[in-house]
Amino acid sequence: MTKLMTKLRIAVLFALPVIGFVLLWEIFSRSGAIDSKLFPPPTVVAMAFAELIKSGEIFRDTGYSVGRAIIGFAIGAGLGVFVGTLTGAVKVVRNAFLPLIQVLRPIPSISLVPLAIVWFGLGEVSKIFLVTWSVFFPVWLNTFLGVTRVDPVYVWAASSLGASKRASLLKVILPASLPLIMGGMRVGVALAYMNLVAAEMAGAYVGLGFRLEYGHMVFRIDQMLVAIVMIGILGALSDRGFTGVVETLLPWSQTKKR
Amino acid sequence: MATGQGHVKVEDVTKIYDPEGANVLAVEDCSFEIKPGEFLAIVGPSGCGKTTLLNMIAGFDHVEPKGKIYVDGELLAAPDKKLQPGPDRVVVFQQGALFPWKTVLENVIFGPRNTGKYQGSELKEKAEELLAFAGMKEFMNDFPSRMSSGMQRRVEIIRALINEPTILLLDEPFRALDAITKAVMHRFLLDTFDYTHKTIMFITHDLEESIYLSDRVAVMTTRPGKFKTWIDVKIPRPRETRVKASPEFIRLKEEVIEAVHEEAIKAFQRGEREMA
Repeated sequence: MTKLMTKLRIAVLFALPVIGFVLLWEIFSRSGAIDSKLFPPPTVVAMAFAELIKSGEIFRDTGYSVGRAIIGFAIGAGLGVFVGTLTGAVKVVRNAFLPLIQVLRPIPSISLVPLAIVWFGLGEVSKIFLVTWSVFFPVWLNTFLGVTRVDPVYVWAASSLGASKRASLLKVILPASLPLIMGGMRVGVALAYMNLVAAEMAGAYVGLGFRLEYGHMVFRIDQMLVAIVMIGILGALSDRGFTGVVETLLPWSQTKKR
Repeated sequence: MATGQGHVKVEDVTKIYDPEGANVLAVEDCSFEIKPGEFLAIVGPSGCGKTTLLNMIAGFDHVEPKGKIYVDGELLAAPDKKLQPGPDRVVVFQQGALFPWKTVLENVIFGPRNTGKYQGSELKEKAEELLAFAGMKEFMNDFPSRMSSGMQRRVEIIRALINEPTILLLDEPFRALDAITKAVMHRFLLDTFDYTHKTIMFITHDLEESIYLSDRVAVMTTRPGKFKTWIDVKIPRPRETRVKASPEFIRLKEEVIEAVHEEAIKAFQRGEREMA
């Protein structure tokens, strides 16, 4: 009972400021204090939302955006871990690739948006490319740091316990680096959304970024706000989901000392 | 490598770190033997090369520029023969090296999983038997971070023992423990030694501990490390805590303290010279 009460209390404390903000927005917008064309009240936004649900467009946009984010993230994170492990563990690979990666890494991926459109067109490839690019670097960097800075005592213990170099890499060095790798991925999730929206705004036929840009062109600020709210919700949900995945995958890194 | 008797012979070993650069003479002309089933404790001032000797037997440090290390008559390490670490010479480290991402059981079976020594249900039975011996069976599905440092140490020793090493190399394993936990660990290690009769090389700063646990105490000089004195500990086993109050124990302790004290003073004076 008390547990339920605590949960309820947390929910109320969380919901109150949000409800308050929405209410104030509604009042200000309706009162004429601010231009309701530029700041349509939440009820109008909700109607735009209903309209987009009815036409199915919001599902299509969200579906496409999420799909691109997931595919791009999977490719970028996979490549990041793979290249990070190789550059961290194999000297020849490190010497060959490190300078190149260090030159490419500081380039803001948003600056690649126009290039990606020229190279890959307005279709899926350019969006996935940009997401992949933005996820790759933080994941690569953290994997590289994790692999190169693993506590040597673990590697000694592994070799003392008969692990081959390969076993030591897969069963000791990589798991020991996982907390850092996961940190890199979490940054990657945030960057993935940022770059995806930028790419969709610059040129797309579908997606939340496209919906935002389309609303801009036809002056449907209510629809723009729907897209922005959806992007915000998705970002928060994926971060929360990611933390959940980490907690499930790395129970040992959360446990406290007795 | 087959499990042997556990006879270790270190012959005329000199170790220089970074010969091209800093050129640190860590150990000089060290020769000693550990008999099969003997518990040897090595004490000496900080930085005297105790851990260097252990690391050379373990295969973490290369024997150079001279010397030979034999285990059970087989030449394992020499300047022209680089030794790889292996489960026949398992090390338990002073800072603790249980893998935090593995449960207790997964840690314990890590070695045999690599070498194929035991497999399937046999492996699990063996692991459970040893964990039960250590009083850790009920915690076998817990992660190490959920356990006290004493429990972690016990698991680490079990993780080493399951490989049936020829020699167990213990590098100040109880250094970071409080006095009460240390006493419990001494009991555990004495029981383990009585139970397995493995050859043990035990490095420590704690002089009382060295006498209480071992068959022989080697006192090393300050750097470059050499052997100064060997002291036989003829206190019968199994040993109880009360032997620490016996006249024989007190006599041995005085002997060890005197030998180590001389070296500690030398090390301290040299430290002052180096600071000046």
